[in-house]
Amino acid sequence: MSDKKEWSKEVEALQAVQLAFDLSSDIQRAFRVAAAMQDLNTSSMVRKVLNLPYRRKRIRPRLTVTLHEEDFEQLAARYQLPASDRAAIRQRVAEELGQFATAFLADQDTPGS
Amino acid sequence: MDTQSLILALGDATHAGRTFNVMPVAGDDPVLQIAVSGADETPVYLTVTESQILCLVYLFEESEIRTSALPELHESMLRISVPMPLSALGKVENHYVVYGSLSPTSSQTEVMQELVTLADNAIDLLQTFEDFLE
Repeated sequence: MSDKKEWSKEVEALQAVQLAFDLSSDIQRAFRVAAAMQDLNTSSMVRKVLNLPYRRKRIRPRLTVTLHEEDFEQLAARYQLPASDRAAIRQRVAEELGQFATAFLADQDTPGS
Repeated sequence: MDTQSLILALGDATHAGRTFNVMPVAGDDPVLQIAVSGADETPVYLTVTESQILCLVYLFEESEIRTSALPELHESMLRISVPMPLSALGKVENHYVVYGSLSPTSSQTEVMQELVTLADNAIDLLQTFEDFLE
């Protein structure tokens, strides 16, 4: 298709859209990461970069996960616990999230990472 | 119709109760990213050539599709593409997209109609194809 001569301009236009999409995705990712690192929501981060007034702190930042029946079953299988022992499963979830956070923060502190 | 005049026209316009948030994307060729109110999660990318105004929404990447579901997804996409108003499905590199194209001489109203329909279609399609994705 791209060999068809009279469509070459259209293929170029499509490539321009693809570049724009990639750039937008990169920018969005950068803003999400920057916002998270500064305890801001994304729109506050955008406003900060533009030197516009913004809300300083995220409203009630918290880490929650809602576990459904099938989630408990999946986690129980992975932790080799009975699905009915929700307290133990929650305990293992908390430990796993803690391990992730510790590893993540250590990784961030590594020079050159 | 060019991207510059669309930035000006869409910025203050309302169509069927919907408004448009237009952001030009930096680059050599002018491309606009347009968020239609009520469908902000499916921004439309628009570019204008000599022969068409191309409007496109990115749906998902190839890597997001369950491998076993691929043939059924393709079949479903081909079938849905025909009755879907003003839009068609396609693929750009490894991204599945929904797009619509208009004549470069289209009116502002026609462009707005396309943008609203396309953004809404994209939301419907994401729900429709949800089961095919990882």
